[in-house]
Amino acid sequence: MSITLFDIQTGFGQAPGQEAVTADDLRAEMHRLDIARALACVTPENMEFDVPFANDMLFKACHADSTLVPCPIVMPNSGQDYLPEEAQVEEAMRHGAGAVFIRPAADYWILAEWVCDRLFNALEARCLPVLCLERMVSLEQVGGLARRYPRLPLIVAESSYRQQRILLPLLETFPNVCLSTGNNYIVYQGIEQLVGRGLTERLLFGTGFPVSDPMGAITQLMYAEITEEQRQMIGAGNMQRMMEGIQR
Amino acid sequence: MTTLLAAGRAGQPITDFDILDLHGHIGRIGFTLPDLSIAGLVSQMDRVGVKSIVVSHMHCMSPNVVRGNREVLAAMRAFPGRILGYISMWPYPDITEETAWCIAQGFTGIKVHNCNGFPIDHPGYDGSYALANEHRLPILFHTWGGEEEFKQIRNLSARYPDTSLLLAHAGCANEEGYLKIAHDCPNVYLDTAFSRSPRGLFERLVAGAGAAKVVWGSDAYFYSQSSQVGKVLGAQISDEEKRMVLSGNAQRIFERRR
Repeated sequence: MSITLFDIQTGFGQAPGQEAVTADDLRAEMHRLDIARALACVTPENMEFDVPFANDMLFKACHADSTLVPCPIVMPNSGQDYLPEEAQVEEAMRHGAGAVFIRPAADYWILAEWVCDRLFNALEARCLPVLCLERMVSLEQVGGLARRYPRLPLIVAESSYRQQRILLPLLETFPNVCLSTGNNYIVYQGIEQLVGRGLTERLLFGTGFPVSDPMGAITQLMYAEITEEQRQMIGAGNMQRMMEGIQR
Repeated sequence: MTTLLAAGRAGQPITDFDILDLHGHIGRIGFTLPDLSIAGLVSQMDRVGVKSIVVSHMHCMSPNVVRGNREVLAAMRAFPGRILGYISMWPYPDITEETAWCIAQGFTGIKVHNCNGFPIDHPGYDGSYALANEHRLPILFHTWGGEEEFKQIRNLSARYPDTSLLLAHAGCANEEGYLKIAHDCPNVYLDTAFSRSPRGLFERLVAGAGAAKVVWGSDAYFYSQSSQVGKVLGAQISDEEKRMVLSGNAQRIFERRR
């Protein structure tokens, strides 16, 4: 059985001191490793501080074909210097976004209700998933968001291999939280444990490209001691289903 | 796709040669490891196609090294040929007798972690290193790219030329330093275990040091073995070079033992 892969933890951009990784580079790597689709962000956050510019670049890069699904940046318009929250969500939907990306510290906001409630209400109304990288949104903060917005899908990514003691109850407590299996989630037998706890539908395949070599995430999934049906759900099925749940 | 890349992408065990994992652990550590059983580790090895893994106990990072060595020995006896052992070191009290005893029990090499606050060239290790030299055993050092570490390893390389010195986590920092020491010291090898697996690092180690100086270590079950094998199977190098890293180089190191 051939397992289709949908990489939900990837992107392209210009990291400091390194050669740029373009959308075409990402596509080439996907082709080399037989990854069918990807949820793409513009990275890294410290080089892409101009949110409308970064999103425009992302939308243009993803427009060419359906292999790249945009994951644009959103933020509260609490400083009255950007699009209203509802308009940001509409823009993301118009461009076929599969999720949105929040970067609170990089974009100088916090997760307090009085700063961002309007943003998360707008996202929840459309069931538009929110990508939360652990170094930007702590697992405790993810739990807080999941409780406040129970219909809003939240995707935890870049989680450390040392966090299983927190991740397991996070996933079991909040049905709207999902976990990327991409780098740095390299927990020995971690996928097997989560699947064994009935959390298969909450696991999403991701790699961590371009920061990380993507093949480790692939072999971790492909060699996992789970059924082929579970592997297919994690590989692509769960993300496809999540996207179908977006109220477009 | 090359043969090995295709096998990894399909999740097929590698069966046409013996994969040897030179960096493993057993035992409990502070964070959650969902399955601490040795049978579980062997099961994961079977799924990937790993013939043998050389493990030290997690207690290589604590004063309880003797207890750890006993657990490793039990694992070696439970799964002969699949689980091989590194002797964990602690400089006080004298560890030489313990090292000699473990070698007599069939341990494969020595593991030295410097998180214990002792430098890896501490005099308390001299007797054990001399035994390793006499028996031509590998010594796996936890390293993190520090210049002081490299200075100590250069010194050990010269003093114990018949050992094989394996530098764990090569390229995690100071990539150039790792390449230089691998080039300068004939008995130094670079181990690939690194959680973050930065894109292209593995290829740069092979290009810079030569495939013959790079050995595969997964750090399982500190890390996922099935993840750590991916950086080799998916690397943009030839399948022949991948075989050297996953098997041939370790085989050569094993064959030197006497």
